[in-house]
Amino acid sequence: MNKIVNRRFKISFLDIINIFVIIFLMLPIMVIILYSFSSTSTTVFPLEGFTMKWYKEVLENRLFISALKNSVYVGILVSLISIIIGTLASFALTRYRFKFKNIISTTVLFPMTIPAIILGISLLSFFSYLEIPLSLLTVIISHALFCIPFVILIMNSQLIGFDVSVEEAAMDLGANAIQAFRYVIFPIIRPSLVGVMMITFALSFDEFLITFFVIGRQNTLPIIIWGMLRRGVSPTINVISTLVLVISMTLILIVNRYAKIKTFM
Amino acid sequence: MSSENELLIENTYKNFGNVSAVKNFNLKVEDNEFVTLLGPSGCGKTTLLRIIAGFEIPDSGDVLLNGKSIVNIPPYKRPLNMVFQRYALFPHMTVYENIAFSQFLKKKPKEEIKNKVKKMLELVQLEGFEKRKPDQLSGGQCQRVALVRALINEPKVLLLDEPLGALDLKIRKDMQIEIKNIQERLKMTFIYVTHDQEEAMVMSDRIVLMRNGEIIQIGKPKEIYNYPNSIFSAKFIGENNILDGEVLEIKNDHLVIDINGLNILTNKTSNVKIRDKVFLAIRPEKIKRIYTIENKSFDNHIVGKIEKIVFFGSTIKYYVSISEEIFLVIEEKVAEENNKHVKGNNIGDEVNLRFSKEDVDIFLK
Ligand SMILES: Nc1ncnc2c1ncn2[C@@H]1O[C@H](COP(=O)(O)OP(=O)(O)O)[C@@H](O)[C@H]1O
Ligand SMILES: [Mg+2]
Repeated sequence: MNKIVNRRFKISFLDIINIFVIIFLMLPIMVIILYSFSSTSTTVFPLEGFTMKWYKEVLENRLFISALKNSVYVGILVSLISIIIGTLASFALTRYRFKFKNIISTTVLFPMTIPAIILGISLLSFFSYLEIPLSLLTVIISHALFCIPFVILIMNSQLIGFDVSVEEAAMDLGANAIQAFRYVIFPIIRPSLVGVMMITFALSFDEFLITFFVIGRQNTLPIIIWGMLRRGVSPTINVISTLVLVISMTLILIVNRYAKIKTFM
Repeated sequence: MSSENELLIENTYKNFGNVSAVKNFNLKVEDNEFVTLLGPSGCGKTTLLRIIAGFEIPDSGDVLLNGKSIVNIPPYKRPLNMVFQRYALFPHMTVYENIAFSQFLKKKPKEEIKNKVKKMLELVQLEGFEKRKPDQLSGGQCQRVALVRALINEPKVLLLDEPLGALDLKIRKDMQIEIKNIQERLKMTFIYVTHDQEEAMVMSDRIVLMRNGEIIQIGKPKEIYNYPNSIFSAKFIGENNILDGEVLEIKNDHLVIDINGLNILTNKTSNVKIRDKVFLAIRPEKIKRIYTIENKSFDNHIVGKIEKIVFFGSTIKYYVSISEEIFLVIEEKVAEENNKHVKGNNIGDEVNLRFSKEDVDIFLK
């Protein structure tokens, strides 16, 4: 035990590399955060002055606030829907044998390979053919369509490696199907689920092309940003990015917290 | 009390597609008995255990515990527990939680669970390991946890599927004794699966020898070793010299078998005719090396040449060629081997071999 404790305080070559990688990954984000407080309206080095005026401008912008709400709302629903459908599909594909399994397991991944612009156009004609009015609902359906394959792909790799005898051991020890899921399967696949949740949220949150076709009269954040960019780069972009970052981080923390199921003790 | 905890498997069949995994299986396991299902890999041992545990439903047949059919009871309601082939510990739980799991599900009071887990950990000498996770344990320790995780539930029958398969030879041998001791101490019924005949011999009260889903022979280890009922038993249990021949003569009290020109005398069996093709099986330790052929108390005398000598510690093996086609293995205690008057102690030496006709098992092809 002593040895292990001592080793923790030594900085190895690997640790140094790790630190550099982290800095490299975080630097662009730090720059954006810093410049969101910059008082000049152009991005110049070194930073000049500190101001909150861009924040004020963004937060007072009704259009932005409603788009942000829409994006979060769509992102959360897309994430939940695609996790439920995708995980169940993945369970079926990895656990059970059925007819046409091979064909099905490849076709469910198709939406991933279709270019977004084509997906957008076909969804638009699909919705108008069925006379479904364009709204956030159509956005959610469309996003879920291309998010589900990601969920299936990630959960497949988790579930293929899942030792079924662990689940059987739980049942052998007296757990019914629900208890086996609650106490054994779920805690084991939980990290993957959390990962999938974040990925699908992120995919939905910054989706532009498909959204552009199926959104109708409302706005999501990428649509707003696109509109702003057409009018030139403004420091408010940095503010929006920072806010998006904060929102994402908060969501991750919340998800991590609430998805954590303690073992039974 | 002998009918308490009696497990009965009746006419059980199980197919997977066109693979017949278990065929016409009939077995009665008594209370406190240590029964081993032994057979080569793929012979249906796991399938049978899973049928007993409730993870497979037999195509036909029945499994009865104390006279009551259990085939329609789901696994989590059966009063049996299983130790899985690859431990199957819950990776996200500590050792304590793993062992306590079944008691927690039974809603036992915390204090009682704590005491029981403590007792279980003592049983397998893992005190102090409560807080560890399975990935911080060695293979042998994982196996011990898996064992007591099942034992804490006080199953009527404990099923063990090759529990020692993944362990090193040394730990495996220790664990064989340990598991056997625990079974005797707790007075429980164990159904144990292995493909290792030596393991089966060491641990079992009774061995059920299987092949292709069917029972070949059931008996105490000694019975099966001494009286194999088939060439398969003779080959699978212990070591045997197998010779391939044909019945040459049928005498009053013995048979003469022709093995590629070599004649071997065997006990008479009722069901052979002249020219029948047969297998002979002779245990290596039944063949003696002798210096002179002074008396006729042994029925078979053969001359051969030592090709190889292998030292095993307490025993030593001689690989002897009798002719181009016939080879015999002879096993001797090292103490015997020290008899310097025995001719032929080196590779290339000629040796005289003898064995009695009682020591030759004969099987019709
Ligand atoms: N779920 C299954 N699906 C298809 N075939 C199986 C299945 N389980 C076992 N088998 C087949 O049944 C036979 C017996 O398998 P098993 O009971 O695992 O043997 P053992 O445990 O003796 O090695 C094998 O031929 C195996 O391939
Ligand atoms: Mg097996």
